[in-house]
Amino acid sequence: MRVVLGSGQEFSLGAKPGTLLSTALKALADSGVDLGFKIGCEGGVCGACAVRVNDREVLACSYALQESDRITPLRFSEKSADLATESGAGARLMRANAWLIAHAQAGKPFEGKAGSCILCGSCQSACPVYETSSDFLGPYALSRVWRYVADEREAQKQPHLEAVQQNGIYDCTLCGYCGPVCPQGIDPKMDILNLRSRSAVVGLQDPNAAAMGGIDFGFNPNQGF
Amino acid sequence: MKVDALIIGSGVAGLCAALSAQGEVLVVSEMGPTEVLSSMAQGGISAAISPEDSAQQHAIDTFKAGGEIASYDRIERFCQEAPEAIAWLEQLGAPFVRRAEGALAVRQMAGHTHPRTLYAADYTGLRLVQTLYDQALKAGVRFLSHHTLYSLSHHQGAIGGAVLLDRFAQRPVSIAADRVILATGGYGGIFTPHATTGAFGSGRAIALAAEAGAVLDGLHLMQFHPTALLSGQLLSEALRGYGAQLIDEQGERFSDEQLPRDQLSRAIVRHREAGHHTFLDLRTIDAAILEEHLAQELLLARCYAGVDPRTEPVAIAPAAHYSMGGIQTDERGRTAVEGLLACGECVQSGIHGANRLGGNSLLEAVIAGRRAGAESGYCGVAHDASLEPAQIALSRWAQGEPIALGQWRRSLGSVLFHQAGVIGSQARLQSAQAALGPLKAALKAAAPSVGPYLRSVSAYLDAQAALVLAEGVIEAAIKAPPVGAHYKEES
Repeated sequence: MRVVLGSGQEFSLGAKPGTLLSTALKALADSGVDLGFKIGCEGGVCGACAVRVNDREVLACSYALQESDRITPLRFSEKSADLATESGAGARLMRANAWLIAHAQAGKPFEGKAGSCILCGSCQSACPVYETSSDFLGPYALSRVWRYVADEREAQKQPHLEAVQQNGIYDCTLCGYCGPVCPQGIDPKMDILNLRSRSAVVGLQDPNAAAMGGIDFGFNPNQGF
Repeated sequence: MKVDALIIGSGVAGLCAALSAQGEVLVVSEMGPTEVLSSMAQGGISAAISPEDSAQQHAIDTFKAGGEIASYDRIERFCQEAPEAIAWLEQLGAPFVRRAEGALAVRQMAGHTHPRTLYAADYTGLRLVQTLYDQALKAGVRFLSHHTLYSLSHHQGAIGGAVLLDRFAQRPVSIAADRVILATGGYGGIFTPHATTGAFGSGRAIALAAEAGAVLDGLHLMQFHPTALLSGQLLSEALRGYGAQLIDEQGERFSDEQLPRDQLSRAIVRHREAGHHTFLDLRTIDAAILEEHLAQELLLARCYAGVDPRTEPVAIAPAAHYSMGGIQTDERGRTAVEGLLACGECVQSGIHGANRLGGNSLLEAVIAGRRAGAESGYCGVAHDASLEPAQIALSRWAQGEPIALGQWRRSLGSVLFHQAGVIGSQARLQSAQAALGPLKAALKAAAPSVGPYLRSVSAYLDAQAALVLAEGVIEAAIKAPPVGAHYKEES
C-alpha cells in the first residue's frame, strides 16, 4: 500500500488497508525512515497523534488507512516537524480565561461534551478563520470557556464572557467545520453560539459591530423601523 | 534558566505538584502538556466520603488487597487525606458526577468494602488532567513542552536541575533548579506490546533517578489487567460485572470471571500457554446496556480489534497495567538524593503493596503530587549543567546505524511478559535474564538517528531505560517471595 506523507514524500507501507495509521507509522519508523510524529496513549484520549488524512483531521490511533491516503500535519500549528505539531493551546487558553475562576458554594458541574476535550488541535486545524487571523481564540478555547460559563459552580461568569469578546466569539463564521472533525464529538459552533447568547443577555455586544456604530440599524422594538 | 521547582511530567501527579509548589515552577512534558497517560484512567478516584464509610475501612481494604506488605500507618494517613483531596479537586472545578440530590456519586470497585470511587463520566483521568491544566495556567505555572529528559544534573552530591532535549529545535537545554520533582509515570511500558500504556511507560526517569543514587524498590510488583485487547487497550472490569464471559476458541468457559485481577490473569495465561485462544464474550450482555453504559468499550473493540462485540467475541489477553514498584520515597516524596523528589506511579511509597486497588492510583497521584509539590525544603544546589555531554551524544548518534527500536522493544516486552510476567518461576526468570544478554548487545551496537522531533532519539533513550528496568524487575523477582501480583510457580 502506498501513502503520501508530509510534503509529498511517498512511502510504501507493508501494512494492509484498514491498518491503523499509528501502527503503520511505527512500522515505517522501524523500517528505518526517520519521520517526526507523535504517538501517545493509543486509545484516543491523550490527543497527541492528531494529523490530517486527505485534508481531514483524524487521530492516527483510530484511523484505518486506505490506499493512496495523503497524510499531512495539522494546520495553523505553532511548531511542526513532519507530522508532529504543537498547537499553541496554552497561550490561547490563557487569553480566554479558560478555567474555573471562583467556586460557588453549591451547584452541579458542567456535564456537556466540551468537558471531554483532549486538546488534540483538530478543530483549530479545520477552522478557516485561521487563514486570515492567527489571533482568533478558536474552537477549543471557546468551547472550554463555555464549559466553565455553563458550570453552575462558577461564581464569576462575567470575566469569562469579557475575555471572549475580542478575537473570540464574533470572529467565528459559524461554518461548522470544527464539529465533524472532533474525535470527542464536541460541537464548538454550538458552544460559541451559546456564548454569544449569554453575552447578549449581560449586555455585551460584538466589538466589531460597535466599531461600525453599534448594532442600531434603525429598528425600534416599540415603533418598528 | 533557573527555577525553584522543576517538575518532570505533566500528568495528574505533576500538575498537582505544580499547583502546590512555592516560587517559580516549570513543568516539562515529553509532548504537549495534556498529552499524557493519566488521561487513560477510566475507573475513578477513591475516597471514603459517605457517612457509612470510613478512612480506616478504606485503609484496611488497601492494606489487605496489597498482600499486607505495605505500611499500614502510611496507608491510614493516606486514606485520611483522601476526602480533603477530593474537596480540593472539587474547588478547582473537577466535574465529578453527582447524584440527583446533589451529593457526589460513588461507585463500587472490586476489593473495596464500600462504594467509594468518584468518577467523571467515562474518563475521570482525562477530565482531571484537563481541569488541573486549566488551573495550572490560571496559577501562572510555566510549561516547557516537547522537551525530553536527557539527564539529571548532579552537583555537590545532590540534584540541582536537569538537561532536556528540545524536540523541535533538536538541541539540549539545561535548567537549574533548587529541586526536581519526578512525576513521569510507571514502567509498565517495558512489557510492550503486552502493556496498556500506549507509547508511554519506559521508566526513563526512574532509571535516571537510580543512576543519581535514588533507591528503587519493589520493581517486581507489576499489576496485570486480565482483559486487554491484543493491541494493548484494556477492556473495563465493568464488562465482567455486567456478565461478560471468558471463553476459548471452542466457545468453552474456562474460569470464574469474578476472580480478582491477578488470579484471573493467571487463569487466562495458563489457558493460553496450553495452546488456547482467549476471548471476552459480550454477547451475554443486553445490547441496550452495552450501548448505553459501555459504549466506550464497544468503540475500543471495533477500532482496535476490528470486531463488533455485539455479534462476535473479542480476543483478549492480560497486559501490564500498573507499576506498584518504583523510586523509593518517604511520605513527603523525598528520595534518597537531596534535591530529588518523586510522586505518582513512578514511586514506591508504601501504599499499594503487591496489588493496587481500583481508584487508588489517581488518589495517589493527587495526594503524593500535592505533598511533593509543597515540600519546598528538600533542595539541592541549583546548577546549570554543561550541555557538552548531550551535544557529544547527539553528534555521535548522527553518525550511527539506526536500529529498529520498535522491534527491539517488542522483543524485550515478550521476554518479560512470558518469562517474568503474570506467572514466574525461578527457571523462567533465569531464562529471562539470559535472554536480556543479546538484547543488551544489540542496543549497545546501535544508535538512534537524529531526525525530526527527535523521535528516534527519544525512543532510543526509552529503550536504554527499559533495559535497566527490565534487569531490575527480573532481579527483584528472583529474590522476592511470591505475594499478590508477584506469583511464582515451583520450577
